[in-house]
Amino acid sequence: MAPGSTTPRAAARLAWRLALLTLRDRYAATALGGLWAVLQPAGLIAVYWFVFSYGLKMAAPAEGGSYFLTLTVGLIVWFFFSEAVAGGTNAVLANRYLVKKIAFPLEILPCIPVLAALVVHAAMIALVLAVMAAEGRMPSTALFEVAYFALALACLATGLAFLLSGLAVFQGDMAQSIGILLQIWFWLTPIVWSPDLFPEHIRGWLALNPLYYIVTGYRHAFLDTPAVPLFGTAGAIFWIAAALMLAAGIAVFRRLKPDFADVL
Amino acid sequence: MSSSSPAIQVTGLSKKYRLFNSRHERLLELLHPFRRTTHRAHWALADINLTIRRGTMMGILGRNGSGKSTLLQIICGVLRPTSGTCEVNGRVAALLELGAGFNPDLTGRENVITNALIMGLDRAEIEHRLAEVIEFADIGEYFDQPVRTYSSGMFMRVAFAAAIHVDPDILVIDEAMAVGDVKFQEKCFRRIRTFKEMGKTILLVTHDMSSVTYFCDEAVLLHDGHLIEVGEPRRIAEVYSELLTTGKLPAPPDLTTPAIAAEAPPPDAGLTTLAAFLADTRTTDRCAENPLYNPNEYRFGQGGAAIIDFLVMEGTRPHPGQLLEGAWIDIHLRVRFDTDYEAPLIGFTLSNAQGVALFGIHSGWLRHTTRPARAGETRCYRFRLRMTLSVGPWFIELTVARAQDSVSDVRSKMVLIEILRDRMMIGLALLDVEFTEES
Repeated sequence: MAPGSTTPRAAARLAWRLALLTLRDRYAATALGGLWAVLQPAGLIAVYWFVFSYGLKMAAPAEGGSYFLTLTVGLIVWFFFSEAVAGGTNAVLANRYLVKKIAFPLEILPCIPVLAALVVHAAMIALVLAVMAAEGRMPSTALFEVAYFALALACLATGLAFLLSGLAVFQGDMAQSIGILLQIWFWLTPIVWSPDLFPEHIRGWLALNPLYYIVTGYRHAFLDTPAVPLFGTAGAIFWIAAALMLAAGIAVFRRLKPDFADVL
Repeated sequence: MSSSSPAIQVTGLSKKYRLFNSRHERLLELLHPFRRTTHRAHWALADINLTIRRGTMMGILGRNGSGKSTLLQIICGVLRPTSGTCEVNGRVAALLELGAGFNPDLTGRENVITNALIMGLDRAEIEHRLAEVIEFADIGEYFDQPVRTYSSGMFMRVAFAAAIHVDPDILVIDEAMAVGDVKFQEKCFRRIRTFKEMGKTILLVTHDMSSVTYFCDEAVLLHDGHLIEVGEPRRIAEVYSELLTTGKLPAPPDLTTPAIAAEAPPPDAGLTTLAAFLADTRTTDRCAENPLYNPNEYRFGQGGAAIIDFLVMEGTRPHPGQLLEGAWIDIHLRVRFDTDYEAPLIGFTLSNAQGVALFGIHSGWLRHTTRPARAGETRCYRFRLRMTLSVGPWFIELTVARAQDSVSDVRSKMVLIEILRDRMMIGLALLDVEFTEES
């Protein structure tokens, strides 16, 4: 057995454990513990909802649930994505104890924040279902599509995590600039606003943002809004972006990997 | 892997570190589409060939920056060689550095489980071994506290316990054994011994030559990234200590005339040295020319007589820089008298690196009345003693005095000798002990 090589099953088990430890570690010093994973986003959702529905008088979209639900579904997608990408950027830097002195399958590292974000995301989905129940809405069978869209988003985030975690080791500015880029991306994605605000001919352009496909997909799955065709233009754009990102991310990570131990 | 294949086979191994002015520059080179290079090269290891057989305990000696750590990191799979191969047969567990692979924010338990998962153990095996780790580490409730609250001793306990209980085929220990109290060290050594008896392979990297000579079957010396010599631990330790004191490597054996080079020095070479010492009539101070001379000696006294030369012999071996515990030595010293002495007192004191004087005596206390010495004379004296001391460096102070309260020349810490371990013990001195089972 070559040092540092593991079976895919062992690697998955290790990644899962490290993801859980990351979460545990994050809330270890708090009294409320894992509850923060839900409280924090819930607070943000409340703020956005208050500002946009009372302050800016944003109305509910033509179809689907209340503005509150529309916003919440969009936000949980965003929370998952931004947490995975921001955590992914730090994945190697934050685990230098695994890089420097022991043989560790380094490809696991960028996957850990994505997995951790996915765990939190599962709790968020439960939260949305609870809100729906409170509003008296029953989910349709389209709900199962959530699994597909969550997986798709995890693929895109993993690609980004590979790319950014490797680069961040050599470029200290990476973590900072990612914060700004994520902010811009947030406002370009139909989360607090609805695509209906735009005329038809502009709406086509919105699909160039891979997250457009995911957010509208989630809304369809939860709220039965008009479906985006699963494998239409938006889907194609998304999967091309995700595949490119994964390929580029892994290629760059592999190139940079041998030098991690030298630099950290 | 067949049982006859060596545990570790290193062939033509070289490791180049690429030096850059900035991380940014490194990134550009790594990602450059046409692989343009801008680095400066530093070769940490150059063409290393080494075979480590199964069941061997191999000591690795070398100064800081000699390439020891790089070699270990390659064996452990942390670094990849620039060229050549390193074939490792079996699972490696490493104690490379205090805290390697441990997340300070997680508890000891969580770290041990994570480490075992990294090593490829499954849940059931881990559960099974965890109890043994807890018992071996023996740090009580601290096992469930974050590792950052640990003392270095506790840390070492957990790290060692974790490494040894993942059932490795090869155990790599780097400078780690010095931490922890004597009792725990003893426990570790015992564990290492059973480990060795199971036919496992151990690599030990240390500055403590005595543990290499005591534990290891073989040793290797690295210097500036080159493998200087592989062989018997005591031989390698001698070459290494010469490298440390003189900064130079002893001349390599002349390969063009192997028959002559391999020949041991004639057995009476030491006696010739002694004869030359005793016959020497020069009256100048020659102490500093002796290989055992410690340039940091502290000299004081009222004058009237001076110690001008010395010679230490172990049997017929002159200048024994290293001795096994309990070896007999002769200390010869030559004194030049500048005034008349009725019955000069000649003495010596043994002290350790911390300055603890273990033992000192002079000719008068030995109930010996020396012959009178006149101004202008030089005289030689000899002490014969058994170095029943514990491991480590020991200093010998030589003294000449007119009377008990009138010292003429004291050369404190002038002679430096290192004692190597022959058996486990604690304390400063090795006393004569017999053991009998009486019923």
